[in-house]
Amino acid sequence: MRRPKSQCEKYGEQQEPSSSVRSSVTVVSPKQLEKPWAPVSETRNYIDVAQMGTAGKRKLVHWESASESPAEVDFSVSAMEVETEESVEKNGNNGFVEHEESNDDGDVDGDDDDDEEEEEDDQKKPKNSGPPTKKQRKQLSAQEVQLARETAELFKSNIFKLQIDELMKEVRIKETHVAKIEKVLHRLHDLISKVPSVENLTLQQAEHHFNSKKVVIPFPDPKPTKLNYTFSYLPPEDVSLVGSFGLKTGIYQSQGSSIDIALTMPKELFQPKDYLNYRALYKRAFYLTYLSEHLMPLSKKNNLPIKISYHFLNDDVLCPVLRIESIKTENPEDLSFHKTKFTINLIVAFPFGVFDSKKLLPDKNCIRVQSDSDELPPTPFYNASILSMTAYDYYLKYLYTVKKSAESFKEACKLGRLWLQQRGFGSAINKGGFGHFEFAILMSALLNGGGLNGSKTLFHGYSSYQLFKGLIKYLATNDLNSGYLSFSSMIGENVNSKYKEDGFNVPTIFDKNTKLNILWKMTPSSYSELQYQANETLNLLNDVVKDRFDPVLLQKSDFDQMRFDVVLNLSIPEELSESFGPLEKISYITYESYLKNKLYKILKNALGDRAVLIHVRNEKSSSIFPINKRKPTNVNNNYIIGLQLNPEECDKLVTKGPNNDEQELGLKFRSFWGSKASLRRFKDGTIQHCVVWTAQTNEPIVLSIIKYALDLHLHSEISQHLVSEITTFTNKLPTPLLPSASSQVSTTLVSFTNLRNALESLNKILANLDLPLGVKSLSPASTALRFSSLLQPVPFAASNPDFWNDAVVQFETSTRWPDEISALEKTKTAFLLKVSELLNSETTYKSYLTKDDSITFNEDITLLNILTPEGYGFRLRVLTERDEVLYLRAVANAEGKQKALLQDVYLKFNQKYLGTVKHTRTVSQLAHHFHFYSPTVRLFKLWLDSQFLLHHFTDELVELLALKPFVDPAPYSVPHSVENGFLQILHFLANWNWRETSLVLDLVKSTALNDDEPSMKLSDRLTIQAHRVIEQNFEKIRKSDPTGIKCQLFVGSKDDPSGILWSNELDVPIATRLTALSRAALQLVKTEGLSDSNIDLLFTPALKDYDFVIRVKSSNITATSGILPSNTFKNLITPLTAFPDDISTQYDLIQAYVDELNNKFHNSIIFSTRKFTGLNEDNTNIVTGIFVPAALSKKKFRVNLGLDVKPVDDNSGEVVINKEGLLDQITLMGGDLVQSIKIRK
Amino acid sequence: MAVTELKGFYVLPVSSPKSQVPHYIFFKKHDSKNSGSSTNNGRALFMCNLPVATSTASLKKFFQEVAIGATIESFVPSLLNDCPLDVWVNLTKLTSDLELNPELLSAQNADEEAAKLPKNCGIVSFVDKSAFQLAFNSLKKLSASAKTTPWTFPTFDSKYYLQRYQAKILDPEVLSESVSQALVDFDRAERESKEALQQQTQLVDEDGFTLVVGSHRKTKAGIMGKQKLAATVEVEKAQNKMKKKEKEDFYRFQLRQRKKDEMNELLQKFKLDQEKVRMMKEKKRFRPY
Repeated sequence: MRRPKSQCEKYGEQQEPSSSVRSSVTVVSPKQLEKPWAPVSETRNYIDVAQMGTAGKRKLVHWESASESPAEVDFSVSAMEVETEESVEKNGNNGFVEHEESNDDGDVDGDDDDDEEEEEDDQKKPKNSGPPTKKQRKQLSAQEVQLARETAELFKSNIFKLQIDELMKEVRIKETHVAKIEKVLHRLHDLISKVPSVENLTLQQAEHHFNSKKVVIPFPDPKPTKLNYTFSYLPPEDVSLVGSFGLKTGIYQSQGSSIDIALTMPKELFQPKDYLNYRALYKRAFYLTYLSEHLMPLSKKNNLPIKISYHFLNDDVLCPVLRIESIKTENPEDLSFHKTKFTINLIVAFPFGVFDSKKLLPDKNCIRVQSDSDELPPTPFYNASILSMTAYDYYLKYLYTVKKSAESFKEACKLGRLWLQQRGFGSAINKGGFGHFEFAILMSALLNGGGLNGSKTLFHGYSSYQLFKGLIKYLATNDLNSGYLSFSSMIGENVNSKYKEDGFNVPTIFDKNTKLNILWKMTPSSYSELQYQANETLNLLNDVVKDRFDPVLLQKSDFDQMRFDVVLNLSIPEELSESFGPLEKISYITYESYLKNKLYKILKNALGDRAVLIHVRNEKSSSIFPINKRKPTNVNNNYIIGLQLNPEECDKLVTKGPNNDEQELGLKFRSFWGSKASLRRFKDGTIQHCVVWTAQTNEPIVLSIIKYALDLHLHSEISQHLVSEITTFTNKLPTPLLPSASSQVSTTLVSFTNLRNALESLNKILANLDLPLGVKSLSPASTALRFSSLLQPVPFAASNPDFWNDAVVQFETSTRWPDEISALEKTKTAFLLKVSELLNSETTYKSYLTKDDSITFNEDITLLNILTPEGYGFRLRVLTERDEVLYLRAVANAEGKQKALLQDVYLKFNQKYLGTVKHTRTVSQLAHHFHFYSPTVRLFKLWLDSQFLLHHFTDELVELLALKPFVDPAPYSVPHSVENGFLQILHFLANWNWRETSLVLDLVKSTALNDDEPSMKLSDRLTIQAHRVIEQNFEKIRKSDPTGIKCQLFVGSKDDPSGILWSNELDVPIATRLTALSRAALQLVKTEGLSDSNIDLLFTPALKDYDFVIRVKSSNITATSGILPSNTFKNLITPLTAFPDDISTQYDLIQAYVDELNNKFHNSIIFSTRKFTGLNEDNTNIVTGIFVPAALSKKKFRVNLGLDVKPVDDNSGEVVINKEGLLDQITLMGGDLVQSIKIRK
Repeated sequence: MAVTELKGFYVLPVSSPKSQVPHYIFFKKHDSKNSGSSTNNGRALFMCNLPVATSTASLKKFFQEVAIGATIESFVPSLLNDCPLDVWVNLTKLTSDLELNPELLSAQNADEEAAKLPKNCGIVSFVDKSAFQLAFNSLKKLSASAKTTPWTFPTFDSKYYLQRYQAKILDPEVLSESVSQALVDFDRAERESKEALQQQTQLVDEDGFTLVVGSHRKTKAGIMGKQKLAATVEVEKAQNKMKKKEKEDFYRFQLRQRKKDEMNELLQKFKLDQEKVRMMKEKKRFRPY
């Protein structure tokens, strides 16, 4: 009877298999099944809040209707059905079940037939959900299935949900702490009720009431002098717990958190007009002081040892509160809660609705001052502050109601709180004015609408992840600065929140009920920052390839130097405060916000498109001050300015203004830029106002602009007070010995391009040579050819260790290459000999062949060294179709121990002939895209070299590590300055636990994921599968080598899925040292800040860590390395113009010495040295050694120990390493190079 | 008391004239196991832990001082002395089974012996047995006295390292000669192997089969390799074909099986994830501070 219908449905389903079924979340389509299961996400991304509009609604239907009308619920619910299956008897399926149990499940008979169809049906009709087969039932527990389904559906992925769960457990406030605090709160409540009343004191009486040495009334500025009203204290109308602790959305914070208690002043203390001219605030200040004065003795009497201080709540100087800290005492009867790390804020609040809220709208003036102008400016900050003081309790109730209505609200609030906290946001003004309270209110508003016509943005049935993501998406995509969100906090009244497009150009979420702008503490600057962060996070949440849980929620990302490309420190001179007049005072309340606003405006105008983000912050020490002071004494005049640059614009030499014919705008432009503004005709014929800047080596243009603009508009000598470390880092890079060096900006790639051009011309010549087989391709394969060499390529600079640039030649395809490795190399040599002969006779190129020992065991490789007339050196190696076959054959034929060795040989071959070519291609593309990659990687190399690490690493590995912040900067963003990039690399290295995690780099240009769909498919991003393959490789390696003895740094990319191509030959001590040094460096920067001396310290090696240190000296090779020696006049050093007769005389002999040492003693000692001797002053270098720990122990004598040993004197037949003998030989081998040797005792 | 003997090795302390820091050489009579190199049997000395840069010249000088008359015939140092590895591998042998010509072979044999020697070891052969006895006895005496004997090191200086760089540059004349010689040899070896292979095509085995050799085949191993490859390719092809033909959603049991699999897979993945998160938790990863 059901059959026709179900069949019909079956057909229907076949016709549109994907759209309806798959989008209804859980049914894993066959297509998805083909994909390997990625633990990160992949198939679990069934639903994404991204398509929240419609899909979300559908979801809601599912949720709400799940209980009564399962017919509409998709297959997912069938899992739940399984659970209750025994009881579901209405469709008579039970019979089938029993029948089934007696049958074998493979058996297809009539009854089963029906059953089957139901199974198909159940994709749409869970009501008829097919009972699981016998076998299945044994395996699956219904709850598990349900859980698995649910997590996959409602969260980004299983793993994301599980991680959120764990996180929630981790941040939960301890029960014992809560219990203790509750006890404290009760006692405190009792104390407050014991405070006696006092009434009708005049100002004088009020002031004299207190012993000014002990307590002072924290009157806001201006301090009242004569008043015609009186001060009183009456018991508070209401004492209630507000804030996150009351809402139970609080999380554990390592630095401790605070609990807010609101004491509502009785209504009778106020008159309706008290909102004007600080009157209410003065009354409140008295109330606060009176309370504190009585609390102190009371608390002592009642065994609650506390310390009370004043605290500006959220940095709002109008709102001092009492901050209560616990004191640790010996008395066991004392109720001390310092261990809970909680502090209590006693907030004195106004009764709700005591003032007419319309009078306190943001555009009203409530502070009357004498002024020449007819109309006083509005006082939005003051108004909002007063309003918010009336609404603590009110908003708690509102949020509580919302929390009750949405199950996951609480959890989502915690997520949001954590997210904000990790990014340095908070309710305090100096933290951007957007904290968990604002987050929660916004979420509540969005649960009630939020779209243009009040359409819903979030739904009550959403999971915490969906709520969180929805809110982030809302922040990222809607502009609450140009538009605003209007909502009503009236409980019970169902008014939709609406987004309105024409706003007030201040960040606004307007509560129609209280007339309060929730975002009153935010500024356009902090809002744009919030929006930017939301955008970055949204991209991360949309990432389906990698698990982004860490950067979204776990990592702290509030370190200025990594958050911003340029960080400036500005100390404001005293005399500037004159410009802060009474009118400014009433609209900005504090000098700090006035200045911040002014700075932001000037910078915004001056930088325009050059900066994406401008962050201005007062370097404030603390908003806490003792109760015998009226306000904090130490006023901090330091401001921190952080900029995030736009790489396309920031280095442009011309700031373009309006066209000439736009009179009004032109005038504005001219008045802003003053004398620097000029009128120019551009190539396209337009005449425009503009400002032209000159590039300087030691200062980015952005900095010049800032200095000029601040001098002009803030204070004539303010640029003297502007401190920035931005140039110190770029100045660390060696100056090339080139005539044009002084006028270059740090990001220039000119010298590199010259080198590439030289290779291009060589390529042309090679292509035209008359050879038995033509040259098919010449692929660049050196670090300078991919813009990443420490030293810029300088013509004729033969001492540069990177002077020789590798390139891989391929001849036309031929089948006649010999089938044996040695003969193959010989044949290649024959070709190279021919090329060399032709080049030497027919062109101005000089060439010769050298032996190459870069691939062990293959002794017959030769390279063609070519010196070009431009002054560059290229080293050609030949790749044929046979090479790889032969190396692989060798691996296949090898047995036992040899196999591993030959795999290494193959890796070497792959490095030199295949990998480096691919790598060069990828990196040079990226270097063009990321302007600051080249200087950053060069600085990073310099740092490694200064720490004697560089020569242990392959260039390619270093470059990949340096690319990390560029292609995957989360939780920070792509660096656009050397400083930022360098610190981010260090940050990554310091935190990279390479034993447990791999580094998978997606080497593509754009990090933005929200590109439109089609381009996503075409892009060469790593697919989930590719990512999975790399991860599996890592797992495989770690399975056989869990502690990372053999392979430490695993760096996979699409060029090298194996992940070990460039890091295969590293040693554990080197890898750990890299981590340790990065940590130390970062620690230094974080604790001591960046100063010239600290930066120098970063680049100073720690010699005391080594077992012995040899000072060596070579001939002068600084200039011949292409470096302009420091402390010399440029005109005294002539650029290089020719090669010496024997180019090897300019090589660095110290490198040969270290090579030799490594050949002889690598088993016993790890030698380190600076690869770039030319970078050292006076041509000395240092060779350091550390004894390999494994070599130091006593050993049984064997012939093949491979160590220099001496017999142990106790006749045990054991030997031990002969340290003195070794050092003796090392010194001997150094000959005249060695200056001194120092051995650690 | 200083150790003079260690597991059958005599200990010989030596030092450079300047520093007096002793370096210990371990030596014993060389007894070669393989009869092939029996030529120097009985008159060779195996020395272990030789100082850096020990060469025939430095050894000659040493023996002149400690045992006049003990003339050295040859000194075979380990190939590993100058390379940062512990084993030596001959790539040619692994990539080809061509029988290279005899001269090459003998050169390789010597190489092979050197390749087998562990790092910092060497074999000193003397001209005759008496020379060996002389040298061996005087070394034993020195060893027994446990005094350090002076050892001359070659001089290392900047010139030495410069030469290392210069030595890498190959002379084109010499190079082209050696290359052409090597290629001629290789061609010949290849030709011979080919001819040998061709001869096999003439042979008819007991079952009446002959070997079929393609025109490009050079060695027998090549044929075997090809066959192996062909076999695997065939199997794969056949499997692919089978797969293509199979219809996956024809029988109900297939559908049911698939659904079951899906369910199981989902659960399995979920379990995996749980496990992963548990691991992460153990590592205390969820500390957002």
